[in-house]
Amino acid sequence: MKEVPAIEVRNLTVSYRSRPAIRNVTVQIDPGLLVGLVGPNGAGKSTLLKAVVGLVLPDSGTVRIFGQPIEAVRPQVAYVPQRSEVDWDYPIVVEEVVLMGRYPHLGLLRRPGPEDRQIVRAALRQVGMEAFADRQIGQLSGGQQQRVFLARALAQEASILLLDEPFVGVDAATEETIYALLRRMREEGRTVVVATHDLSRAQTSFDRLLLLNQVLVAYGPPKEVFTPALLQRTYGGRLTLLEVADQKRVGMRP
Amino acid sequence: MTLYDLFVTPMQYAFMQRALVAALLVGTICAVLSCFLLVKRWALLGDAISHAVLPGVAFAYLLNLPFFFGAVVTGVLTALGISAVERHTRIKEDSAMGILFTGAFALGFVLISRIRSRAVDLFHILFGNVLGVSDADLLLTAITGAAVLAVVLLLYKELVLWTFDPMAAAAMGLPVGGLHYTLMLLLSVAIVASLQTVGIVLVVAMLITPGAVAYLLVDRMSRMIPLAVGVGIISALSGLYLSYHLNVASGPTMVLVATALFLLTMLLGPREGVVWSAIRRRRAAQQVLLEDFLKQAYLADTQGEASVERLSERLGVPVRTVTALAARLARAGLVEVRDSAVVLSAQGRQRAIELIRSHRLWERYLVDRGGVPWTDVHAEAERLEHLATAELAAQLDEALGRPMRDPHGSPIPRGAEGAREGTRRLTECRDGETVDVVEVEDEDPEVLRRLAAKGILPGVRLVVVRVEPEGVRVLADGQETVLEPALASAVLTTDGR
Repeated sequence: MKEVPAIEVRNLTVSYRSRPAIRNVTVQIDPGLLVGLVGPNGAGKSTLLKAVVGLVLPDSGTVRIFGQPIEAVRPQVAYVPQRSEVDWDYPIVVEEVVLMGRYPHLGLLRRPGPEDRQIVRAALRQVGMEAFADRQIGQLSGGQQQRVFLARALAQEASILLLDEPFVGVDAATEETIYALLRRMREEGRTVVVATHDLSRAQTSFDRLLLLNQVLVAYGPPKEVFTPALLQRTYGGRLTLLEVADQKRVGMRP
Repeated sequence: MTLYDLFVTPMQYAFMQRALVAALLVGTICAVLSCFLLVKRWALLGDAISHAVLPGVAFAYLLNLPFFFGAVVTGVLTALGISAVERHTRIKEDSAMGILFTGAFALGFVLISRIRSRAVDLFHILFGNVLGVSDADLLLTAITGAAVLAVVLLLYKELVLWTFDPMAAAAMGLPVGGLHYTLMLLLSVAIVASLQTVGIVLVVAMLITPGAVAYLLVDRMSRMIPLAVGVGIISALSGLYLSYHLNVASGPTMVLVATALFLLTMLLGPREGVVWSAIRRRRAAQQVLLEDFLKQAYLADTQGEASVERLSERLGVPVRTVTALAARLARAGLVEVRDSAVVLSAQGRQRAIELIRSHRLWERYLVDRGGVPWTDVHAEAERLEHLATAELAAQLDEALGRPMRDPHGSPIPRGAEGAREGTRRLTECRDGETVDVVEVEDEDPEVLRRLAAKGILPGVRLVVVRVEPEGVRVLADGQETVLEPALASAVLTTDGR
C-alpha cells in the first residue's frame, strides 16, 4: 500500500493583486525526504511554501498535509520565514524564541510549563546553541539565528519543516552545519522542504529537487531533474511560461 | 520645605488624590501598551488614534452620550479605516494614517467650533486636566485600565509571537487578524482613558516614551514591560508633584519628565548610553596603545635595545607619552625602565608574544579565508590583534590548520613559550652538523609528501653534509639525499646531541 504523501499539492494557483505567482502546481512529496525547492527570484518559491502552511489563500487548487487540510494538522508543520520577515531587534532572547515552538501545543491562554522548557533545552542542545540561550536574538550571526529557528521547529515536534531561504546571510561553513542538521532531521523521519535560489549545492544536498518558475518545471531525484534542459527552463528568463504552455499544446496533439 | 510639604501637603486636597490615582493608572496602562507599539512600529498609530478621538467627543456631546463611547467609536473607526486604505490601495500605512487622522481631527475641530459651548473645553481635551478628574472619570479609567491589563496578560505570549514573527504566528494558526484588531482596540481604549489626565496630544508621549526607555535598557519583553511601567509611573507621579509645586500644567509636566528620563537613559544607559560608549571607546583606545607599546618594545628589544626614543619613533607618539605608557606598564609589572630603555618582564614578554601571535594568525586568516591580498592585511590585523583572547587565537590557529608563518613569512609564535626558540631551518645549518628534525612545516601538503618520501620526518636525526645554494645534501638513515631549498627551508631542526 502506498503511504500517504506528507505534502500533496493539486492544481494550485495563487496570485497577488491579480498577478499570478504560481500556476497550476501539482506535486506529491513523500514523507522523510529532504527536498530542495529551487528557482530564480520571483519564481513563487515563498508563495508555494506559504500556500502549503495556509498563509496565502489560493485562487484555486488544494493542499493536503498527510491527507488532511492544513487547519487540522498545524502543530505538525513548522515554518521558518525569510530573514526579512523577522524583526531581529526585537527584545527577545534565544530561549524565548525556541519556546514559541511549544505554542501550537499549548493553545490560547495556557503558559508553557517545566516540561516545555525541558523540550526547549533539548532542542537548543541539538543545534548546538545551548550556550546562547540568554542572548538577544539580534546579537547572533546569521547562521546562529537560523539554528535557533531550527531549534524552534524541533521544539514544535513538527513532522514537516518548511524553510524559506535559510542560507541567505550565512557563510559557507555554517551552511554546511545547517545542511547537516537538516539531514539529521530527515533521518528522524521528518519531511524537510528548503526554498533556495542557490543552485551550487542543490545537486548534492537534496533527495529531491522541485524546480519552480511560476509553474512546476520538474520534481524528482537530482540525478533526473538536474539537467541542462530543465535548468534552462527553470532559470531561462521570462519565456518559460509560454514555452511550457507550448509544450503542453504540442504534447496534446494526437 | 520639608518632605512633608513636598509630598503629603498636596494630597490634602481631594482633587489631588484623584489626580494621583488617575496619573498612576494612565502611567501604567500606557506604559504596558507602549512596549507593544514600539516593537510593532505602531508609535504613529497611537498618534493617529489619539487625534481621531476628538470628533467622537464632539459627537457624543451633540447626541448627549457619555463622551467615552463616542471617543472609542471614532478611534476604532479610524484605526479600521487606516487598515482598509492600506489593504485596498497602493497607499502605505504612514500616509494612510496621515490622511485619516488629520481628517478626523479636522472634523472634530469643526464640530466643536459649531458647539461653541464651555461644556467641551478644547484645551482640556487636547492637553488634559488631571486636576479636574471626577470620581466617575476615575472609575472609568480604573475599569478600562483593568480590562487592558487583563487582555495583555491573557494574550501575552500570542502578542509577543505575533509582533516578533507574524508569519510563523500565522503558520501556527494564531488568529493574527484578531490580534491586530485587539491591539488597536486596546490602544483606542487606553487613549480615551488617558484623555482627562494628559490629553490627546500628549498621550502619544506616554504611549511611546516609557517603552523606548525600557527598550534601551533590557533585551527581553518580559523585563521591558515592568521597567516601562516603572518609567510611566515615575513620570506620572513626579510630573504631578512638579506641576503642583511649580504651578504649571500637569499633563505636559508628566511628558517632560518622561522625555527627560529618555534623554538620561540615552546618555547614561549602561548598554547603549552615549557617555558609556565614549568611555568604553576611550578605554579601548588606551588598551590598544598599551598593547602596541608592549609589542613594539618586544620587537625593538629583540633587534637591539628598546630605547624610549626608538619606541617613540615606532609608535608615532611623543617621548613623554612613551614614558607615561612605560610607567603604566611598569605598575602592572609588565616592563621595567632602565637607563631610558624599556625592558620587558617575563610576563610582559609573554603578553607581547601573544599579541604577535594574534596579529600573524589574523593576517593568515584574512589571506586564507577572507581572500584579502597579503599586501593589505597588515593594517587590518593591526586592529584585529587587540580583539583576540588567547582562546580565540587558539581557535583561529586550529581553524587554519596550525600554520607556521604569516603571509609575509614571519613565524607565528606557538603557545606560551613563544616562538620555538633554538630551532633553525635546515638551510641555516652548517656543513657537518648533526641535527634532529623537530618540525616540518605542513602548509603545503606537496612539500610534506616529498619530504616524507625522502624519510625526513619529525624525530629523525640528520647529518648535514653540505649546504649549497642549489640545495642541502643530508644523510638520513645512512642514505644521502639532496633537498632543494624549498624543501630544506620547511624543515626545522635542533642541535642533535
